Amino acid sequence: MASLSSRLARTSMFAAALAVLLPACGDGAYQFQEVTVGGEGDARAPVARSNSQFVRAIYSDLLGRAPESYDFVVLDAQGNELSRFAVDEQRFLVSALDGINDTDPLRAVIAAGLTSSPEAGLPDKSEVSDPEAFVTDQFHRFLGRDPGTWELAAFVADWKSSDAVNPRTVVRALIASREYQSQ
Amino acid sequence: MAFTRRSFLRAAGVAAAGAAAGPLIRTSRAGAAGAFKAKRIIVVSVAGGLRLRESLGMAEGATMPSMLGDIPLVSGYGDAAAGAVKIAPEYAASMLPDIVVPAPRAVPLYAEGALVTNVRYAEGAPGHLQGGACLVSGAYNNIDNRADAHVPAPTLFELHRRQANTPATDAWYVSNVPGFYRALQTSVHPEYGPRFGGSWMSPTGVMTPIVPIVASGERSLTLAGAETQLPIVRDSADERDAVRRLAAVLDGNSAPYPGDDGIFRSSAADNQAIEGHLASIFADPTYRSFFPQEYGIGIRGTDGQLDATGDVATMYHAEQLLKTFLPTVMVVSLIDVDACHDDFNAYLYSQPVADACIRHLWDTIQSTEGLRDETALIVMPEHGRQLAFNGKNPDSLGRSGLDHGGGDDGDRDVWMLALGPDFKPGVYDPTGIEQTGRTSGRYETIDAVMTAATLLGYGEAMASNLSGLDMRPGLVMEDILA
Repeated sequence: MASLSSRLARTSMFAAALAVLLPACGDGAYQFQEVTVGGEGDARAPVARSNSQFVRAIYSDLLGRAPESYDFVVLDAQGNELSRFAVDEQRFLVSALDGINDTDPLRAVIAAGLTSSPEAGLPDKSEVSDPEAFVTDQFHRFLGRDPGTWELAAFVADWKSSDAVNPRTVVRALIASREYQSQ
Repeated sequence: MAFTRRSFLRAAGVAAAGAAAGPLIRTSRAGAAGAFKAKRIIVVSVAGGLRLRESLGMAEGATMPSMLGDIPLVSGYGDAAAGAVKIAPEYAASMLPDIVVPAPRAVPLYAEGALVTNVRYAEGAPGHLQGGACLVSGAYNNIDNRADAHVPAPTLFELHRRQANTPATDAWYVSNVPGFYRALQTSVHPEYGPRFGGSWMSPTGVMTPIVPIVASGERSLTLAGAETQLPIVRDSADERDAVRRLAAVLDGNSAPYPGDDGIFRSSAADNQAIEGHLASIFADPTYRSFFPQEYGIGIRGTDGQLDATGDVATMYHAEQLLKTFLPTVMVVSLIDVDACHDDFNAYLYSQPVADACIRHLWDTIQSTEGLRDETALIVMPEHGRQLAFNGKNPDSLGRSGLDHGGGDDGDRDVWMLALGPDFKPGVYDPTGIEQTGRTSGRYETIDAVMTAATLLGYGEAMASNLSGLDMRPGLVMEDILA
C-alpha cells in the first residue's frame, strides 16, 4: 500500500503537469483539421498494363496457361517436315506491341486472334442457352467481379439484338475494357 | 498590305534569325499555308548516316541511281559515270544477298526536284536519336540515347495537330527500328506533348505474319498447294463495332486514364481506324498484305521469293498508311545503311535499296489521287558518317566499317532532295547564308525542317517556339522554292 506521502507527491506532480498543459490547450474548443475523403467519382486513376503484363494476363485468363516457347513445324501434304522455326509467344507478341505507340488497336487484334483459337474453347452463340450466366461467368473470369446490374442488362440486351454479339465478342470487349487493360 | 508568300518568307526569316527570343507566338495556318500548293509533307530520313562521298560523290559507284543518277554531283569525284556499286569481290562471292531493285529511272529524281548538295548538320551529336529528333523538330539537340528521350522543341506532328486540330492519324512517324524512335513524335515542350503527338509505327515489328501465327494457337502448318490455309486473325467490322460498344459500357463505369502522365494515347476514333487497317492486313489469307511480291524491291531468297529488308518493309507499309489515312505530316526513318558500323559492303548495297524505296514512294504519290500534285517530299541523310574507317571487317579494297557520332566533316556534310509542286528544280550549293549563330554559311538540316514547316504554315510557330527555348531556328530555303 502506497504511503500517504507518496500519494501526495504523485498528486502534486499531477497538479504541476496540469498547470503546464492546461494553458497550452487554450480556452476554445479543439479545431479539427478538415479531412478530404473524396467524392464518388474520384476513383484511383488507372495505370495501363505494360505490353508484357497484357500478354501474360490474356494467356492466363483466356487460355489458362502462361505463354510458351515451341517450334512451329511446316509440313508437306504427306506430313514430311519441311522446316521449323522457334516461337516464343511472349517475346514475339510483346515485340509486335512495342512497334506501335498506342497499343490498343494491336491488343484488340491479338485478342481477336486468341479468342478464335481452338485452345480458347469459346462456344458458339447457339451453344449458350443462358446468356446472363455466360456474361456473368466471363465477368468473373476476366474482371474478377460480378457485372453491375446495368452492365449485365446492356450486355444481354446487345446479345439478343445483334448477331455480332457472341461469346467471342463478349470476351473481346472485356479484354478491351480499361478495367482489364489497367492494373 | 497583302500578305504574299515572299513577305511571309521574309518574316519567317527574320523570326528565324533569332535576333529576338520573344514570347511564344502561335500562328494559324491561314495566310502562309495558302501560299503553297503542298497540302502535306513527307520527310524521309536515310538514317544511320550516309556520307557525301558515297552518295553524291559516288566514289564507290552509283549507289542511289534513281534519285541521284550516276554522274557525281559534288566536286572532287570526277564527272564520268560512276558505274556499278563496288562490292568487294570476296564479299560478292560469298556474302552478297541477291538484291532486287528495279532498273534506275531514265531521269533521276533530282532532275525533277531541288537538290541541295552542301547541307550542313551543324550542331548536336551526329547520332540516331539526335539526328532523328532534329529532323522532326528543326532543333539541334543532344538528347540522351534512350528510347524514351523526347525532343525539347515541338515536333512537326505536334505543331500540326495543335494548330489544325486533326486526329493523330493525320500525323505519322514510321520507322524501321521498333521502339528506338517512338518517343520522337512528342516533345517535352510544356505547351505541346503527348496530347498533340502523332501516330507511330515500326512495320518491322508490327506487320509480320508472326502475330496471326502465334494468335492462332497453331503449332504446325501443312502446305497443301492451293488448299493451304495460312493462320489469320478472323474478324469482321460488325464484330469490332460490337466489341467497342460493349467495352464502352464498361469504360463508362471506370475512371479514365490521367491526361498528364506523359503517355501518348490515340482517340477512340483513331484507334478504331488503326485497328481496321491492322485487321485488314492480319485477315489476308494470302499474306500478300504483309509484303506483296510485286513491290519489286528486296532480297531474293533461295526459294525464289522476294523478302523485304527492314527498309523495304518500312517503306511499303508507310505507303499503305499514306494511302489509307492521307496524313498531312509523315516522317519515315530508313536505317539499313547503318550496317556500315560493321560492314562497309552492306552499307553499299543498302543504298540502292533505300534509293529504290524512295523512288517507289514518289511513284506511289504520283499515282495516288489525293497525293499527287499536293505532296512535298524531302529526303535527306539523318547525318553523315565519319571520314576514317574503323577497321572492322576490312575488305580487299581497303575499306572497313564506318561509325558516326564523332562530328567530323564526314559526319556533318549532308544533302537534301526536295520534290513537289513548290520546289524549283535544280542543283544548289549556296554559300554565304547568314544568321546569328550560324557559322556554316550554308543551308543546314534545321533549314530543311523549317522549310517543311513553312509549307504547311507552321514556320512562324516553329521559329518562335525555338527562339523561346533559346534555340537557333532554321531558315526557309528560299532559293529552292518556286
